[in-house]
Amino acid sequence: MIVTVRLGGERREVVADPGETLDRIAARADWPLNTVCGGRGRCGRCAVVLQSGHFRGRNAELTAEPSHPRRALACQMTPLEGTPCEFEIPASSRRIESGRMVADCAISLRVWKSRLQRAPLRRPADPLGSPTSDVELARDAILQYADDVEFGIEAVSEIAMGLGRPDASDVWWIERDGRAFAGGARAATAGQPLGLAVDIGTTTVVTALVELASGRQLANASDYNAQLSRGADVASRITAAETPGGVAELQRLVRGTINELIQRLCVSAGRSADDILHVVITGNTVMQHLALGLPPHGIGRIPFRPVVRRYPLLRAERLGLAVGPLAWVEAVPSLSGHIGGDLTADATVAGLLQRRGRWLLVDIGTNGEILFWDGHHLRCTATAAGPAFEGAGLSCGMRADEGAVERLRWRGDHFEYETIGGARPAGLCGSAVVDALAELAQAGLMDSTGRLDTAALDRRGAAVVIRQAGHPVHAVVIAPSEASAHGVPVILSEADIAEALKAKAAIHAGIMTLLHLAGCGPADLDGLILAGGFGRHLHLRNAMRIGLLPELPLECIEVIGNGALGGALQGLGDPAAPAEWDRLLRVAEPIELNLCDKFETEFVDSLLVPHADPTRFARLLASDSAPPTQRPPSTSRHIV
Amino acid sequence: MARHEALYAAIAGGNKGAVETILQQELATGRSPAELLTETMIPAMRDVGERYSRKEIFIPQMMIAARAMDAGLRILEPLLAKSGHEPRATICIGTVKGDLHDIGKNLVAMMLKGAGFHVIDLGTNVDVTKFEKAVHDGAQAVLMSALLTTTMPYMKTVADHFRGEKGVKIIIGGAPITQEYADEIGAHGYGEDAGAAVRVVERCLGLAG
Repeated sequence: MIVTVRLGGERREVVADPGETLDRIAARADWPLNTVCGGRGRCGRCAVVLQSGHFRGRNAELTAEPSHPRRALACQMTPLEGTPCEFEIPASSRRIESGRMVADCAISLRVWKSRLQRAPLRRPADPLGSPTSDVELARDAILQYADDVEFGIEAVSEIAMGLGRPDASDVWWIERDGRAFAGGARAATAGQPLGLAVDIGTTTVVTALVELASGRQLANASDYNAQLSRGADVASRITAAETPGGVAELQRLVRGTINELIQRLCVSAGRSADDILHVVITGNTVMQHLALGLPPHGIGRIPFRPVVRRYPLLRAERLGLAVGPLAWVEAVPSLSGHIGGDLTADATVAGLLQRRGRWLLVDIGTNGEILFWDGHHLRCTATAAGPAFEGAGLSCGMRADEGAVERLRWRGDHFEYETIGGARPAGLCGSAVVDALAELAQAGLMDSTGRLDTAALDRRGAAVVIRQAGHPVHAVVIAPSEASAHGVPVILSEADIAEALKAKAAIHAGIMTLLHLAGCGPADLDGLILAGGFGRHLHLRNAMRIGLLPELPLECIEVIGNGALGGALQGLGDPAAPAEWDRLLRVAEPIELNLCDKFETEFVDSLLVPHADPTRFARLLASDSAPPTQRPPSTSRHIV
Repeated sequence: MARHEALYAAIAGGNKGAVETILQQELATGRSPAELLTETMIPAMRDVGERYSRKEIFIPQMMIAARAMDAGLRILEPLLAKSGHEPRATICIGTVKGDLHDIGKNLVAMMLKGAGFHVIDLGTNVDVTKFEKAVHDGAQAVLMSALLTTTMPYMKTVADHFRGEKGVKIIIGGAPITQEYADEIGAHGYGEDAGAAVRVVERCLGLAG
């Protein structure tokens, strides 16, 4: 049968096989969708708008007409014969790079000093004079700059070949703790050496290409991690890794994603991938293990122990990365099985251990990772927040992309909203969900347990009832169908609110549990560093009003954006970074929240808005009668 | 005695402080703890479970209600024991070996207590030996939870251990668990969520709902 697929103003007709789901049909139209959960109907990122025809879903059949378009998950829907079927793909559901897939880090390095260095190889004037071997010739060149140097077999053979070539005039190496790791020989006329920073997330891989001598960022690129086809979360990746050949397969998948990104980076920067000679990889511990081909099995169950925390230096060749074959690949050390190199990178770029007083660092993604530094101890933990703040798993959730509502205010009888790119609203991203909860609670339209006052909303024309698994569920209208991008209203249901409450409770309870273990409270904090893409665009005051973050003066909160990528870049351009990673490893004290008595009580207390003990947010609640003030969004400064 | 409306509302609404205050007042005036439990508190908790299944309320509201119920039970339990009040049945529950996830399992335990069961809570990282001891101590059903795909295979180890032991019912649940998995390992029951858990235990033990 023929199915019409629409995107923007364009239409394509696809011949579909019987029983084929709409996400596959969209892929045939060359518009692949975000089936982040592997097409299992879990992540909600492949939503499409059914415009006409009959469709079969998981539980029921649906009929759509142009006057009654229906929103549905493409991976759960098949078109039925007999009627012309047509559906539209919202831009937000396409599997393409998002402009906001956060490569931005708000902290810039003060000084850039490449850890990759090179020196001229001087052939002796008298060939019979000392030194006595090619390698010693190279060593003498390097020892002008470093205390000690190590030659692996690759460097030895490369130098041997290089010295045989008339154009190999330089020797290069990377420096780690005053020690040089020889790379190889290189022509002085070859392209400028480049560095690559890679942040491997369970969902997204973010990369940056940088010119090593200057520290200039040449390009950013990001994409979904191809391992998504093997499960959406870290635990399911471990399970996949435990099958025969699983580790190699998962390594192959993520390598494919990284290599594709490298190609994109090089095309957009007009450079050759062979010039990439230093790669720094960060990410959660499981992703780092899989990228290096190490089994992550131990992280999947008690005692959650990784194979290694301080990863050995490797050649790119060994990992199959499409960069200079002798490039050095370094992975930022992981603090524990649950707290990966991404947090080490966050902490390094934020200079956490250099700070005086008591500091929290919170990185909010699918997991919320929390570090607490009190000048002596670095307590660290991970808490399962779920994907609600990434816009996934909600009826109208979407990632922070064009058309996503990112700011909201309740105006007495309707929501006033701002969307990314000023487009018509297509869905809600995490920051809008936080705003909605805060505004509804303040207007008295949502109680402390997350129930909507449907009668009051109805009087204002803002109530709607949706059906979920056959049951009616109350919802509030954020943008009515006539204003929205796809002719269906953008709503937030009580089920969505419950998901957001679980997420915010997990983060808040994690924070409070760590503080409690250290015998202090929010009032004792000197500051809170917020990392991660979600934190970058969050209305901080609203995050406190709903009890996601503890009550703190706004000036005590620093938003650093993608600190993981920033920290990986720092690994390329700050010779002190590896020593700092090692220091973090030494002081880190991983805490298992499920073993802390306080955690569960605190979690249930934190499910309420703002909290079972609202006096913890007393200052904020008292000042809510005054008009809220918000710092203007800080302009993003890239690391250069 | 009719149900105590204020107590019922306090439990259903998750108002822990009110539950405690009302119970203390009522007990001081000589009300029977068993009656407060069976006439008011158990029906209130059943209502919470049913509203959850109908998607009228969600996990946060159910958790808050369960905690209010738990606070009430803490007051009543010593008095009930003294008066010889019999629980409907005894079950044991634990998160399986290798897994430390507590909160979902605790919610199920609270819902079962709230439905009048005696619950032996074995905690997390529970191995066969601990389940075995609980069965020896009178548990008629073994409830297992796992939150990780990496730890759920241990459920089969436990199920295999109890296969053939007459009368012991194996009931499983947790985020990665499905009915298919329950069938595969030969479990007697699968609870999709904390609301369904009470019903599946009642069904497996042949108790009227």
